Amino acid sequence: MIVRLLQNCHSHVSFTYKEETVNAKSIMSILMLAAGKNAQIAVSVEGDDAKEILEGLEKIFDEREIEV
Amino acid sequence: MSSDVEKEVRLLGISVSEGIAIGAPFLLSSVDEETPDFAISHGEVDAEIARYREAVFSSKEDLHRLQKDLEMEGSDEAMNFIETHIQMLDDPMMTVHMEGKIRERLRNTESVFQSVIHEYEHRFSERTDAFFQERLVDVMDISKRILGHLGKKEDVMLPPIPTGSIVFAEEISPSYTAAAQPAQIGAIVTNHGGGNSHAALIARSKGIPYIADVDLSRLKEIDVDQVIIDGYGGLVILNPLEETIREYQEKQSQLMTRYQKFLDNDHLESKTKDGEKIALCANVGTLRDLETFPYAHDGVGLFRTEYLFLETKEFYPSEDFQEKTYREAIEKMDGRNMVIRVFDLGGDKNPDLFLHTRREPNPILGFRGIRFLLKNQKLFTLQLRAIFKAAMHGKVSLLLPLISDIGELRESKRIIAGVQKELREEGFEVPDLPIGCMIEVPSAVMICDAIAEECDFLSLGTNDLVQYTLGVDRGNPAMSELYYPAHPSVIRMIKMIAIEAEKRGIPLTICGEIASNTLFTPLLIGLGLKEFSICTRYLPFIKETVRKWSVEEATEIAEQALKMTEPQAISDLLTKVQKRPL
Repeated sequence: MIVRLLQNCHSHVSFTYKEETVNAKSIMSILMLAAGKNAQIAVSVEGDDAKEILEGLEKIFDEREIEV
Repeated sequence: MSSDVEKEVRLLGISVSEGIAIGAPFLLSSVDEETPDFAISHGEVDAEIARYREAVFSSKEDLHRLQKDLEMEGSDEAMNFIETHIQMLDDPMMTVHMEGKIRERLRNTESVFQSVIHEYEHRFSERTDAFFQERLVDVMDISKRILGHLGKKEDVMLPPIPTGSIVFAEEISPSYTAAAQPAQIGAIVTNHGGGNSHAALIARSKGIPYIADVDLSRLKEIDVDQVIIDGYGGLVILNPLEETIREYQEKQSQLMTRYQKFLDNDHLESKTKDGEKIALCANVGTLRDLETFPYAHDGVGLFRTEYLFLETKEFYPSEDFQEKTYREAIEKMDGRNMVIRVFDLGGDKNPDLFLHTRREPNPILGFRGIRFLLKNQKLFTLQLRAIFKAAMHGKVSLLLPLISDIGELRESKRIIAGVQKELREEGFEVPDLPIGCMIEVPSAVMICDAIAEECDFLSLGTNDLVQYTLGVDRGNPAMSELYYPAHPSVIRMIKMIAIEAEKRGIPLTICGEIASNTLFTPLLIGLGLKEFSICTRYLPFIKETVRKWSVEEATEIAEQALKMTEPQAISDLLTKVQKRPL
């Protein structure tokens, strides 16, 4: 879901979990965080379409806890 | 082998794919082979990266090929996992990240790759939930594939295995199972893996017995030269006694007799006890399917044309080539009808074709089927021209995929009529072809009265219909519990369509997995279906079932099912009547 949302965006998006930061456009990297349900992750978005992306991500997180 | 082994050893596991096999054991070693590890110079980096890219590319090609084979076998679950693997190969982690690491570490691709994968493995092993474990299996599977290509081994998929071997492994990869030939592999036994693993699904679809969760340590303690696999009871018998072998040979021959009986009964008509003809047609995807047809059939109910030409890279097969292919197929029909479905292309099926277009966020709900053809009319008319010309040599109907709106049918008919007129003007005496619609989107079900009014036949595609109706992605393992082909909503829709088709006196065929499943046969007959189009190897099973029932009994079951509100109740009903026909 997340990766699909980010596929067409221009911003640089990353997730940080337990002091590790990965490219959120890579499903494998996200899996690599091995963050389970209810894990707290930090999200960072830099770029033109940052606002929409954050909103989109919020929606995904709200709807489906934390499933990639 | 020690000759003093007197007692057979019986190991119990979980049967994940039924069947019986007797054969010699073959241990599939899962030990990682030595991976070469050496330093490279700056100058060699580009060549090393190119080698990596090539391995990834070849891996992707393997997967596309497998996917195609599996689709022809009708094994959709397997295709979906392969799609996941293809996506993983496109992941930045596998591309940009890996290439960066090669540059950074200045070591050969294999060793860099191995370390990336090991890191992955390490992370995942910290998590025990099934979700991460399944993903790890996927990652390991693709990494093996890539490493295989890096090593330039002849056959990445399968080490040479003696015919009929019983393969023992710690764990077996889905792609290994997918590539396995039932003739070569008698059965599979693993330490890990479960009924819902991809490997199990594929084994089932191929009819290879598979027992999982077996403690393989015993295998190392004794010499084993023969094994019996009882895929019904989840039993592995090492060094079976003479009498055990006889017992299982007997069981095996009973199973064989069943097939022989099917062949002997091939001349029998597909009629219910009370004499109602139920036409059994075949689903085909290649010319080879037509050639290897062991059983009698009533024509081809679904000819999926898109697979014929996937070999052609650009997917723009010429008119002549298409015409020749269709004609060859039609001529094999001996006068029976062949329903040709025009290209059902879409981003979900043929990602390569769509590299130039924008990747769709949700291809299943996207640009596919008739939508694609109406926007790519050059491709559409080319195919129609070829079909029309080939149709001069036999009986052909045209089927339009994924109709969701009456406008699509009208527009298609206009194009078809245009092509026909054009060909006649060119001097070809092309026939009129019956035009039918796939009913596989709920919107088409709701307006099927209007659709039936304007076309010549209907074809019910239950696979997509179930997924669109329930809003459940059938390829998503997390959703598999919600994927109910026997959902009351689906059963009622089928009834609706059957009523409308009958009212207008047009034929209705059912294709999709439930048509090939004997569990559903009485229900479908009871709902008013008289024509089934099925995966060829299920043909005799369906015929045998058809002959057991009368329309009256079947109608009674359908009436009960139509009153039910819970999917489980319908499943239970079908299971109950299957064992003991009314």
